[in-house]
Amino acid sequence: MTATTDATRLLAKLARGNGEAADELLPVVYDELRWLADRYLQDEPGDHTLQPTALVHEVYIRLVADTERTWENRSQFFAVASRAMRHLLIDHARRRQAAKRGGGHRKISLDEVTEPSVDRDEYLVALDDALSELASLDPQLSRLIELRFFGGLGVDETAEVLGVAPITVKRRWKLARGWLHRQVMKGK
Amino acid sequence: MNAQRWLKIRELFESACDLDPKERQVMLAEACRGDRELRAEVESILSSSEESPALLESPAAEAFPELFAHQGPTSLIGERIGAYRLVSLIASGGMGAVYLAARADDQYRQNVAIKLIKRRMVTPETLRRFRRERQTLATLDHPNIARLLDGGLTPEGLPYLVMEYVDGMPIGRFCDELKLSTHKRLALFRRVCDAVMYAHQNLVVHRDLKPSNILVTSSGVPKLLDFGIAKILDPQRQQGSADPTAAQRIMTPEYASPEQIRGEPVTTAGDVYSLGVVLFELLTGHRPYRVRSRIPHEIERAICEEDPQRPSTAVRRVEEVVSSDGTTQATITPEMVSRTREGHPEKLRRMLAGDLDEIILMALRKEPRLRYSTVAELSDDIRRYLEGLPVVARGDAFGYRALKFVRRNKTAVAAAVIVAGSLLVGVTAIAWQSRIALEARRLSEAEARKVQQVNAFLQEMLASVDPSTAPGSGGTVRTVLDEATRRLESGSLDRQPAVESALRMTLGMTYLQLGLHAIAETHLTRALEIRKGFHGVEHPEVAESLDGLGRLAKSRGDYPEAERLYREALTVRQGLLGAESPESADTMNNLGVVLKTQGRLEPAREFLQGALRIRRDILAAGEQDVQTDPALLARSRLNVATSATNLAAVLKNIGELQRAEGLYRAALEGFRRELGQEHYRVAVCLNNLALLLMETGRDDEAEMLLGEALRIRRKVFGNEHLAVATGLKNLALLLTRKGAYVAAEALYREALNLGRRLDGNEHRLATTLNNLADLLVTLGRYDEAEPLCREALAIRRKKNPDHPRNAGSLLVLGRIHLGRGDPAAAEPLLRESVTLYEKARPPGDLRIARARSELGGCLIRRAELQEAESLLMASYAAIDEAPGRRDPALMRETLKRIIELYEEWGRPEAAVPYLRILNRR
Repeated sequence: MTATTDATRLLAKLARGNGEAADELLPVVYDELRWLADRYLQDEPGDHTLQPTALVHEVYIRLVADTERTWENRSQFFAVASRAMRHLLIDHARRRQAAKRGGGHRKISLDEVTEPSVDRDEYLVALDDALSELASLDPQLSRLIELRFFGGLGVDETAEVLGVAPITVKRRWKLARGWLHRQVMKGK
Repeated sequence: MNAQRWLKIRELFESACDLDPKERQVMLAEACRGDRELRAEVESILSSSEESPALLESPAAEAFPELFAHQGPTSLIGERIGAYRLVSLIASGGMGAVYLAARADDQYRQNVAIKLIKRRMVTPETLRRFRRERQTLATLDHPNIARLLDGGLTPEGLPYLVMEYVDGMPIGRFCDELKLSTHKRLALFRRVCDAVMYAHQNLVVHRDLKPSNILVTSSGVPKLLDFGIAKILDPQRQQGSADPTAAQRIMTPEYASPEQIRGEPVTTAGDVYSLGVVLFELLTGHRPYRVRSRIPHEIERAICEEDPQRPSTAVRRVEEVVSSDGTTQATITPEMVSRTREGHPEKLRRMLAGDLDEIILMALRKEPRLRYSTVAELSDDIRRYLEGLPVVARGDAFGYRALKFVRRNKTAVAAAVIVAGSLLVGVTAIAWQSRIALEARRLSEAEARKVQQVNAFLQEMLASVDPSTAPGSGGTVRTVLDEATRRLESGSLDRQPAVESALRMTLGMTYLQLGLHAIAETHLTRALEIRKGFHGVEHPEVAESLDGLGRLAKSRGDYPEAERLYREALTVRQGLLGAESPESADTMNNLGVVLKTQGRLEPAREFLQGALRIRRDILAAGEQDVQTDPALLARSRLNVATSATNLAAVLKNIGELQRAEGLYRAALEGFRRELGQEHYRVAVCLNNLALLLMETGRDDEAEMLLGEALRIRRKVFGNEHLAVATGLKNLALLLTRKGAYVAAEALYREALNLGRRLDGNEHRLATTLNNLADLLVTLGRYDEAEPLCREALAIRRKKNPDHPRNAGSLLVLGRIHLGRGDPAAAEPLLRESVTLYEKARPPGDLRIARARSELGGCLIRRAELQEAESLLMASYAAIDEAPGRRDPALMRETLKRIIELYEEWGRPEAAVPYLRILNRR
């Protein structure tokens, strides 16, 4: 499968310190995630909660040949996958927002039975903007949020990927949450 | 805020966050020391971090479940859609949901199934496809296909389809519950095949065949659901879609073909494969691949890479299966699967071993071309099995390579048999006034086969009628074609686009051969439009049409356009059929010829070499097998020979004469072997080989070949044919060179007479006139030569006063004046001739040398000795350096002039070496 060789090749590049490889890897992972997410939802009808960590792990298994699943690759991959997850979710939220705006009159809502909270989509989009702002100030912190919030990684895993102590992750996670929430509310 | 400041804030926050409020106050007051802004910032983030937790505590996807939540339309029961009211939910999937619905107006009771497409699946492209496909799907009318009754958009703009409601159960369950024997299962399966065949005939591919789409009613009638729906919903078909593979995988992977998994375009061959999986499961109770996990990736890998087990082996499996919801597990044992089939495991195994194994495995081949090329063939083979006749698949497994070859050479479209069948209906109905009123759908499979052969013959007959090969028949053919055109335009085939487009291709190509470009264009363009409308751009039939239009453009002399079309066709063919496919080779060949015509010899050489190599490989594969169809071998050999001659022509121009000669000789052998000693193409090849031999001075052999070519032309075409004129001219040219003037004159005169009577091409006539005039000048018959030469010049000047060919006429005219002793009149003509040649021909070309030599001779008489010397020397050098001894007569003439020059100049000693050369020759 070409996606696998692609991902493996790009990870190797990344491991050699070629940062551009992450940009190339992102769309590969994004597609895989999107497909997997869709697939899960198709298989099991009814309300459904997605486990982002499970998704990210599965994408890892699918895309990276097992001989290549080294510790470094795993960290690098999760960083990219979390970003992909972020894009995926935000794209989704933006699309829904656009659909709502363009929707006009809605008599019956055929596929939106669980009436979504308008605020939530907006919130998420605002969050994404704030996160981009944060990235210019403090790239590591923005990565941390991606890993935790979008990638669904635990404290220890996040610490491993970022190469910092778990306690630091906890503190900074708190900081990030506070800052982000404030930024989002400021924009209101 | 700058990064520095941020780091300060971060540091303070991290120190403060674990403290209790009081300690925090103290710590911040001290640390900020009057920087109120800093302190406010940190405090604000602190407080906001404490009020936010709920939201950001859990990961986003969990925190916002509705982002991904299954958007199941569960509460629409009772809603009205179109004329129907939704009664209950039948099924819900990733693309949409299916409801049982009843007419809302209660005018009459009619239950229908309504498929509502999810918003998530709806893009502008989906809508466009929806509208387009709906038309096609609505025309599918077959007892075994659930009818599409209606469709439209909800007020929200979501597409829905109203379909015949089928009260039945999936085919597998039906068979198991009734404990149907293998033979009964096969009979039922063949009815499924009928339905799929019918759809293919209407150019609808199912793309998602699986047991849950094949229901059997309580009365035992199979009904296929969701025909063509996958195409509407499948975003892969979007042009330029960024991500074809991911979207393509929406299809149920278990029944998908390898090409479908790889995201390649799905053709009828994909349906053959899926039917193979369905049959496998029907007969064995197992899937073809032993995949333990339900991870789609694993299944896909197995489909693309693993060989399926033999059905007779699979029934011995003991297999743990997980139900689709992942909760229950079951064990399938040999006893279980045979209980509902043949009763005893060993009996079932023996039933499957052999023919049925091979039939199923043939349908399941990874390579689409190696499968049954149509569903009809699959069904027919099952029939043969049921009737105790030998099955194709068995023989195929025996001579695998042979079939591999045969299939590779079949028409690109997998539906060829069926389409060809329909085409026959079209052609016969049109050409013979419906004398054979067959309907393709009523044809039995065995007849469909026959029809294919008959049709191939008909098509060939129609398409091969070429006025230059069959004199006098043009009128008759024209009548048939015009009648066919009239019928087509009257819309008699409006609802059979497959037939219409195939027929238009045939008609277009035939008109093209008749030289009727405008009407050929109408047909070919329309065929392309129909096919694009049906298949999108990426389809072998579209490539075929592009290739046809390329031929038209070439025939019109619009070479850039021909090149563009061929390149487009080549891209599609290489992409879809493979770089090594015979179709790709065809287009490479055509492209090479067009490039050669444009004088772009290097790229032409490249494409022609490629085409030749592929065609040789195909031939070699075919020759290795005793079972290869002789007709295919013959065609293959002719293809190789054609490519060889085309490449040879390019190599000759490049100067690789030896290789060119080898290719011509090989081609000659190929043509003779397949077409006999006395065929037009043998004559053409002899002719080209002879011209090549003349280049290298082997005039005697060339004369023999040209004589033989002329004899063949006379025999094939009779004496009254332009092809004979060409043969005459070529032989005459050679005889002139050899000094056999009398014989040459007779041949030229015959050619001229034919040309005047038959040829509309004045240009060719001018060449003959000029050559004859030249010969007459050599014979000193100036008065006879002059009018001929002036006629030629007039024709040429009318077209283009500066055309390089005019140089030839000017030269002859100059020679006439010289011969009459009037060098003053000859000089300006010869000068113009030299200038024209120099402009049009590469340096070193012998035509320039000849003109310079004549001018040089003229200038000796005009006492311009210095200029004469430089002209004659340049001329001599060019002739001397030409490969081979290309033109001995010209060499002799030039040497004589040089000697004359030095004698005239009073420098006989300078003439001595040239005298020696002349005497040595």
